[in-house]
Amino acid sequence: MIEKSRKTRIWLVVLMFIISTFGYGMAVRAEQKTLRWMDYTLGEEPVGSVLRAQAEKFMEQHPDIQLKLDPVRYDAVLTKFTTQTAAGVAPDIVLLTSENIAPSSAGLVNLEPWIDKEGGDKFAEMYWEKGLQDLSYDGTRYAIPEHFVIHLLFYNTTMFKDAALEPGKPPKTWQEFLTYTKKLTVDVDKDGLTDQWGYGLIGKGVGGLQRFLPWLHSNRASLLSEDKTRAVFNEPNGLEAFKFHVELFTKHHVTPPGTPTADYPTVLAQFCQERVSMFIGGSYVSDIILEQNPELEGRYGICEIPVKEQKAAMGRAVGYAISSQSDYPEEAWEFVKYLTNTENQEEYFKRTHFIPAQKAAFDTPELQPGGTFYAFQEVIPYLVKFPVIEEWGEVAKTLCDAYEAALMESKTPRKALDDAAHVVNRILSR
Amino acid sequence: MYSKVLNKLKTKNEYIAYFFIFPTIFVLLIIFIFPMFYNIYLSFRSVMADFSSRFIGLENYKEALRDPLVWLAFKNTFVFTLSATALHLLVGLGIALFLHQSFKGRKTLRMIMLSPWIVSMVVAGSIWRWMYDPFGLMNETLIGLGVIDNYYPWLSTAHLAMPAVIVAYTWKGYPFVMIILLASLQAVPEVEYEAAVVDGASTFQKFRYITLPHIKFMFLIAALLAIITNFKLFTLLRIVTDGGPANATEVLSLHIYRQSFEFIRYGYAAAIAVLMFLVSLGLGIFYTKVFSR
Repeated sequence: MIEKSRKTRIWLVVLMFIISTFGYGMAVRAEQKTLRWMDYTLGEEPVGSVLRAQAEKFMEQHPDIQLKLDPVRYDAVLTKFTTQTAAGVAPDIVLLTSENIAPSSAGLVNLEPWIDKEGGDKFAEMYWEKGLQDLSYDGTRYAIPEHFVIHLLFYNTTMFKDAALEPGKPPKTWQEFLTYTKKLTVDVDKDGLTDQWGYGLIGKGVGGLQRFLPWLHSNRASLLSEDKTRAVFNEPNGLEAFKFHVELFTKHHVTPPGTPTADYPTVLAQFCQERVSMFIGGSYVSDIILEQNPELEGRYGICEIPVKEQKAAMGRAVGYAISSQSDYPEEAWEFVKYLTNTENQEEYFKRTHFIPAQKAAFDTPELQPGGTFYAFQEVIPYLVKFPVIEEWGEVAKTLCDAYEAALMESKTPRKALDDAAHVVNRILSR
Repeated sequence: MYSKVLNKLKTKNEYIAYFFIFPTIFVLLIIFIFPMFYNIYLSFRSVMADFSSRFIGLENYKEALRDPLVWLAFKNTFVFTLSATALHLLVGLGIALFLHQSFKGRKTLRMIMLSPWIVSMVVAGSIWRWMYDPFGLMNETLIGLGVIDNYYPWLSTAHLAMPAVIVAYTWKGYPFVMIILLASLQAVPEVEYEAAVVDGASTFQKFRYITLPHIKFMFLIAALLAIITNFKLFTLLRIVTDGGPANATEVLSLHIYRQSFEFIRYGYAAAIAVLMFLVSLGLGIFYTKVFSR
């Protein structure tokens, strides 16, 4: 009997311990609001460090808010966000690119009421209009822009000099570009094998498509019709742009072997290793180039994409959206406003060189005339981006397949585009 | 009375037995049975990104059967499965026969030959992808040896990409077959080989009339397991080629993943998964019927 009573007392103590721990946990959770923040730039440097420091500062200013950082891969954001939304465990805040807004919109908060509370147009005017437009779908704003990703042409000035080309006069037209790439494709060590190519062309995936887009628009063509119901990329101007791009590899051989499956990290590495003389990249790439090859400091330039009929540059806004499943949308909104305020935007650009989305942050010398990154500001009026449609994932894959097929010469450019147009029209008509 | 006690004990033992297997059944229900039936349920529905859905009958199946990419994925899956399985068995058997011999350093060599199996699929895929890079180890070695005279685009040529992936996967997968056959070879009685030597049998005759009959059963088991594994392979293909170039290596597992998580078409992906399951079930039944005799 004594033994039984001793056992009962032990069980009572254990039970009290469990209840008190659980109760304490609930109490702590009730006091602190945890926001989970999914962001593909958190895992990259130096962006990650800048954001983590900003997050720490925010938490100091808001002791009742705990931020839980959730870095993901760039190409996994849409997949992770939509599957977590489907599972009911979506993050509170997510960084999305413009083409991911439409497929994610069902799981996002409509920000219009929040923007109205902040003063409506007065609030919106702080940002470049293009940024807010990019992150809208069906007339609704779903994200506040954090930065622009704008692509321009990077070129190696030393290789230019070695090929008797003036570094201060990069190619401005398609014909000039072709001439330059041919002169820059050489057998440097004279062993009978070409080991330097004029252009690093990304053949694989959406990265390749992004870099092809400005060439398409420069020739007054586009991917889809105005109402986004049919493919128009296979019309004559589109085909001409596609052929020009593909023939850089298949006919003129001014891009390295393996181009059909070369992705962005591969081509960036080729530029840093000085295997290619030119490639298309974003403003943030400058720091990565110098990190991979410090000897390139002062030996590369940035210029606009060569023009056929009109200027064009690939660029779109990237911004922070709030999940409709968030338990703390007000706190999430406070954090989004904080991340995109002028002071943080200026610091963000200074440390990462991502082009800021707030107009006030452009007062820095590097973005003014004569500054290193002024070219990125100059092209803002000519920016083109992917269409914002729910079916973008499938359409993009179809176009990427066509691109690869043409580069591998398993289809002619004409057939590749026509076949792709047929599939895209079927997808859009569903 | 004795039989009553025995019966009581038997019932008690049965309960204990059920108690021990219940956790496994519970886990199987959660991670296998329920998702399988839920997948079948989804395949008859059109599912939105927020997981709201509506019943659409056989529309997903009709679309899948009309989709040229699905047929291409089926074809690629069969080519990959049959080629990879054949190579696994050939290479695995060859190395097992070699390692069955007595020689110095045999134990160390056995461990070394097992090492591809220890490496994770992601690491193996990354290594091979790097090796196949135009400026990677493969080309640099072959150019150095004078076998080729220019950088070969192994993974960006349609007719080379699939063989390249199969070779990479053979390196990764042969140890599994090797270990099964090696164990089976240990069970072959030495006395039969000695008798064969006395009768003047050649090496090939010994292999054909002694070794093969003894290892036949385990060989068929290894083949079945290889077919099942290879049919649903995902990771290596995702890392090395991701279905490219231009869908030359797009297999069913990749295509289902893409439809679900990149295109957010859960219902359609579920229908393709059901079709894949039916085909693999059919293959399994055919295989067991043919080889069970």
